[in-house]
Amino acid sequence: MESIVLPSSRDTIAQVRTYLLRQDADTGNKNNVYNIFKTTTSQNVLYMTVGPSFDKGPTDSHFYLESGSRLSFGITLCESNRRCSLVSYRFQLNLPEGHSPSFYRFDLNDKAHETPLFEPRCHFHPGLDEVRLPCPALTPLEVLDRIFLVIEPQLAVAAR
Amino acid sequence: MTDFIKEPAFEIGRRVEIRGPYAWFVILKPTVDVEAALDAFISEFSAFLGGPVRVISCTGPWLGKLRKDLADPASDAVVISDLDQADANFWRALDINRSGLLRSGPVILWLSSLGLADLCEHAPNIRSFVGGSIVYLGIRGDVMTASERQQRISDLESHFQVTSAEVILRAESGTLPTEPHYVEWLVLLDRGDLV
Repeated sequence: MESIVLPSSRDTIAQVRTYLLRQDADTGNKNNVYNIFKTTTSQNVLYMTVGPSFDKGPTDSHFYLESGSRLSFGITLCESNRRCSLVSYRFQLNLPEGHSPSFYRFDLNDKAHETPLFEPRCHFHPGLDEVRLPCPALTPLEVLDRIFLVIEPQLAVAAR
Repeated sequence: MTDFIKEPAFEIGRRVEIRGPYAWFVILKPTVDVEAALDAFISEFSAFLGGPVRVISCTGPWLGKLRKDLADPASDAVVISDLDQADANFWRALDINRSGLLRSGPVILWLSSLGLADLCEHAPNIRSFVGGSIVYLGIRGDVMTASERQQRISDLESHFQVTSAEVILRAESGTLPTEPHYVEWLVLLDRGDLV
């Protein structure tokens, strides 16, 4: 994803982890971000993740928001020639029991699908795996902004 | 030196935020992988502050350069990284010139325990700038263990009903579906070359 310029992978990891630490500190330190935030590398490709690969219910490795929603994500970066680029990501926010839709997911695929209208490279699932709404290519922090600053406050309003 | 608490960069950032302008801190660096620890601290401290953190070196014509670096600009966060090589004369000179070092941005002194002892002995006024703001840098590892990697690989195999060997074959032939999970799978298999 050449159009998105990221700082180094080390700085990008620090930004994502710090974002979660700050959100957690602002909402009562419910999560142990240091334990649930994991990274691994292979050659010049780096993967950072929180939560399980597939959401099958609450786990200790999810990040919990104030509304009770749980967040899991995986982000893959590639660093070469002193440039850091985004390869892919998936951010899944599962809403508390009884909410509709039951989840939101932001996906960035590593390459274009053979039928891009059917599966845009960057898309959003509004609670249905089969429905993919195109969305602009966002940085990981921009996705987190949409989750924490757009979706989460609406859940808080709905809960009142 | 065992009385100081250990804090990760994020918590140090919060302390800096609470102290406000003109804050001086001593961070006691680890004894191993010092350069990597400094790089990681700079990344995390910059992420916390939402802006770059300058690393100032004291090599060369020490005091004059240091005063200039601290003053221009005077509002950003700086880390003075090589004060451990300062001798007693330098610390004394720094102490005498302390008024010229005042700045609104936070100053982090990156020191070993021995460096802190030198500061306390030869620069008591600088020591008073720091006050109680002395912490060990806490290193929190985030690297996945081998068993965590294997568990994720097993989860992926179970979910997609495909073996890892097949995933590698399909990646090599360019027929792997476009999906974030498959990219992650290759990284977990240490086949980043196929991404």
